[in-house]
Amino acid sequence: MVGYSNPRNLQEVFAAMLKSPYQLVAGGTDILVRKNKGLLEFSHIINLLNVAELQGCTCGINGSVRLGALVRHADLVKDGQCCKVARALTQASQEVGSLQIRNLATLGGNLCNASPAADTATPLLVLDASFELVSSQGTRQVKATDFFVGPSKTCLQADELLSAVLIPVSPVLACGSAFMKLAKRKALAIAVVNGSAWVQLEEVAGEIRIGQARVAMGSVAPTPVRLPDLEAWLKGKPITASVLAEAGKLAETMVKPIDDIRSTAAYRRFGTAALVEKVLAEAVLHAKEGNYA
Amino acid sequence: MPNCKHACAPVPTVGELVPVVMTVNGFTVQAEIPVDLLLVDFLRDYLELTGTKRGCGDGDCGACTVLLNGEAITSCVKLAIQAHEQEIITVEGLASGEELHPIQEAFLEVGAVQCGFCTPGMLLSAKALLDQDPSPSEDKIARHLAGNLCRCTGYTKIIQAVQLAAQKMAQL
Repeated sequence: MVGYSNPRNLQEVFAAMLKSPYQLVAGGTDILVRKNKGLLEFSHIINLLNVAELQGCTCGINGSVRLGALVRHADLVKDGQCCKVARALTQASQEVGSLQIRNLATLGGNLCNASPAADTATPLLVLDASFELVSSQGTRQVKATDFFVGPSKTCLQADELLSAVLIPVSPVLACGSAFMKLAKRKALAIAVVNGSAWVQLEEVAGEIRIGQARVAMGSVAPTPVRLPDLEAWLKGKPITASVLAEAGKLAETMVKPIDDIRSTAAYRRFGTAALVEKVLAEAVLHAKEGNYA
Repeated sequence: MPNCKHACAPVPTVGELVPVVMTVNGFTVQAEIPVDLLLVDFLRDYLELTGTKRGCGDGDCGACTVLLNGEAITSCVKLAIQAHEQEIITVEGLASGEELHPIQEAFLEVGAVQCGFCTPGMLLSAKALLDQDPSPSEDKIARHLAGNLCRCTGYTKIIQAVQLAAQKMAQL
């Protein structure tokens, strides 16, 4: 028998989780697709949509951005303040699915589904985000870079759920971020490759250079990944067309894509080079506008 | 539409029955439904509102689009029970009796309906757009309808219809 719980807060969620096995359902746009295809059997459904602690979004220039796990992609697209602070994430949310999917689907769900192609993953990797995980035993934080451990696998433990995404805000201006997605359609498409960049600019002897950079790619590895060797190479580099082009070429050597139904490894490597070059250029432009994050 | 318990044979599902109440096209409906019943199946099989179509079953085509609290959603990836106490508009909610909604009139005038299967979803996505932006650009219309696929028309007349609908609604 498929049972149902409709908790209003985390305490009620943990009580409902005692009815093992259970199925958490928020937006439902990944889970119900699997169910409709017969890949998932429902046991006891726990509706997360009314859980108070998972809701809300607080943005400020003096503190970190806290996004409740239930924040929908549609909300991220609409929220002007978050847009300024976490631009790559806003851009990514705009590209998820379709308008209809964005009105249902949650940030937490996208992350916990943990597809290597998840659009919201690479922005959070480059924005140095942390995830707040809660269980009846308490709360812990993990870095986004430690969250994804395999295709569709996260570090969530049994009976633990993702409650919020925390994005630090750089205390220094001149940071910028950008996201890009290559896909076969303008909507309703899983990325062939996607990726994000974050840069912090610095002025050295009157010249603007890359003080620090973070780059992450999706759909090119078992999980969305940062490119630490590229980041080290970019540090201190001047911002020229040839530096950006070379960054793309280097990125191409650092990813291990595969052939699958959407694309080939070769195209994905080619796509990585082009994407990294463009997304760095865009992040630099954003940074020059004098933005945080 | 009167308050109704589920009168017709429902899609067989396994599970506990839970009470659900929602407003559909302005009417309050209540029913006892299986927990895992999809919103599209609740609308089509319990309320006999078959205007909402099941095209793909995975949120990819938009044929099942309805408005939930004024926002377009794909009802095949929404549990009916999660729409408890919410407001739904289906295509049947557009006309007032015999009087068509301006968007419906526009689709007919322009000739934007061929097989008609995508049309209910298109109408509702268009309504969601025009309710929020009364004079969208052609580009914005295309982007807002990107979640509704059409295999017949090539979209040109659909976009023209939305533009015409915007004009009609501006004159109201």
